[in-house]
Amino acid sequence: MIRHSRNLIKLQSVRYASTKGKENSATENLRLGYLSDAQNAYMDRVIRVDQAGELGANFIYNGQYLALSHKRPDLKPILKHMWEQEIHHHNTFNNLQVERRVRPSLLTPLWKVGAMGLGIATGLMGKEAAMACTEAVETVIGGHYNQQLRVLTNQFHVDVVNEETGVNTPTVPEEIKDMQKLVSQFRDEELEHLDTAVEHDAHGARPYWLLTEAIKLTCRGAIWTAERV
Amino acid sequence: MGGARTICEQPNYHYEFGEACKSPDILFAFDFFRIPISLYPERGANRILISCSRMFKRLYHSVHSRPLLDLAKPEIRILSHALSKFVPKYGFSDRSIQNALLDLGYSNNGFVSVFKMNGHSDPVMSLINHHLLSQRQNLTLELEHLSTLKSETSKLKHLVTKRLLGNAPIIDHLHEALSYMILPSNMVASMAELHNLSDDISFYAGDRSNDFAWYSKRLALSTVYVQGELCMLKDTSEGFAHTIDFVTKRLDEIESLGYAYNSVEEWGGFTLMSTVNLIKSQLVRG
Ligand SMILES: [Fe+2]
Ligand SMILES: [Fe+2]
Repeated sequence: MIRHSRNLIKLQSVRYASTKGKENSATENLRLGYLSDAQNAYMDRVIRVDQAGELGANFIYNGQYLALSHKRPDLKPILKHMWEQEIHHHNTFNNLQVERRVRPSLLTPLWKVGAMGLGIATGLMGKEAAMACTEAVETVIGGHYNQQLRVLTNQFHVDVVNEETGVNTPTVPEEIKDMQKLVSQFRDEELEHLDTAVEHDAHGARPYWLLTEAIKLTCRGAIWTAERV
Repeated sequence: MGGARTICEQPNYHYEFGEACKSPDILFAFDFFRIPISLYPERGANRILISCSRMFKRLYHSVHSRPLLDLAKPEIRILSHALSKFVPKYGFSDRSIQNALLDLGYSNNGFVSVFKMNGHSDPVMSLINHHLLSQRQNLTLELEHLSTLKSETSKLKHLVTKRLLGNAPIIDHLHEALSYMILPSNMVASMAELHNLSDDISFYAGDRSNDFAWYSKRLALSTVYVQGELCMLKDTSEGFAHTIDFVTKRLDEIESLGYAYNSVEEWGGFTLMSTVNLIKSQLVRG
């Protein structure tokens, strides 16, 4: 709410400035266009699916931590570090979902149960299986973030018209640039998790291929569903 | 009006409602709406969930969002004029729009060109929709007052009351508007707008839910709002005091129940039928 009214104020000042005299004309006489319906719809999906994904990641690490922390105390700091980053990712998308007024995934309870189950199950199978799970999940999520980043970079220009000259210079709005930064930062962190998992013998899991491919398939299915439902 | 009881006089109302939610077969709702079943090719839960979530279609809100009503558009100005000046007298009708056109100096041909050309195939529904949108937009005027209220529930009460009182000028025509809104061809749009209203109200009241509670709150709110409107139809008390009292109590109940609608099935059944069911039954009684 606070954020929302602040935005209103920001907007009003933009409009006010544009009707004002010439002293600031270099930046002030620009009329900013709106995101198109398709762009809004895309952002809607991005926030919903990323929120659900980070919720899943948070619960997977939670489950792994529960299952592994007393059996393998040496892994605690590594798991804890990754888990904390996931909590930060999750909170960030929770805030965006509220402030940008996106509907959360209807299947949130299912994502919670599924992710916690996956974390506990792979954790109980042992360190290698847990790390193979992380590797599979982060491969899919990292790729997914990359794909979002491509769209956010290439397809998010809105009209910015100079009201005096009528010249239109399509530009990526600030809020989209912020989103790009966020997604690329999170993508890097996910890929770090992937590297950590490989360093910790993810490839030693048996049956490695079946386990990772099954988890990847599940993640892709979950992404498809969370974007829509 | 005989023995007909209005909704606000039914003490157990929401229990009846709870029973309806428990029905195992959601599809009878489609039958109820008289929607050909062939429109819903799959009976699977997935299909129902997807169609439910479409009802909640609420796009990303950019920092720089389009205004709800663009007064630069001529048809919006005409509708505004019709709504404020003629609807209280002539109701939601072509006559109100024609009067507004003449009043604003358009010829009667304008009626056809302005409305048919802009995708408003149904002028009456455009007028009703304009009422809904402008009332929803008026809620933003309350933001300052809201910041003085502490709890989420007190903010909800304030907003729901304000919105209901926004119906006061057209109260004599609310019945006809509601009947029109639940015609099969208008129903999906009406439900979507109802949920937009409850989404706006929840957001302004400071809702920060990230999970299923997001849906439960908005549904509970939509229900209370619709019950409030139905209550208003027969409310003759000064300043609709009776209605305000009713919705205040209902919102308190919801708070103490902790948003009781918590399972996916309940929710699915609820959305698809209850609201329209409720309006229909009440309108018939009236
Ligand atoms: Fe993450
Ligand atoms: Fe991660």
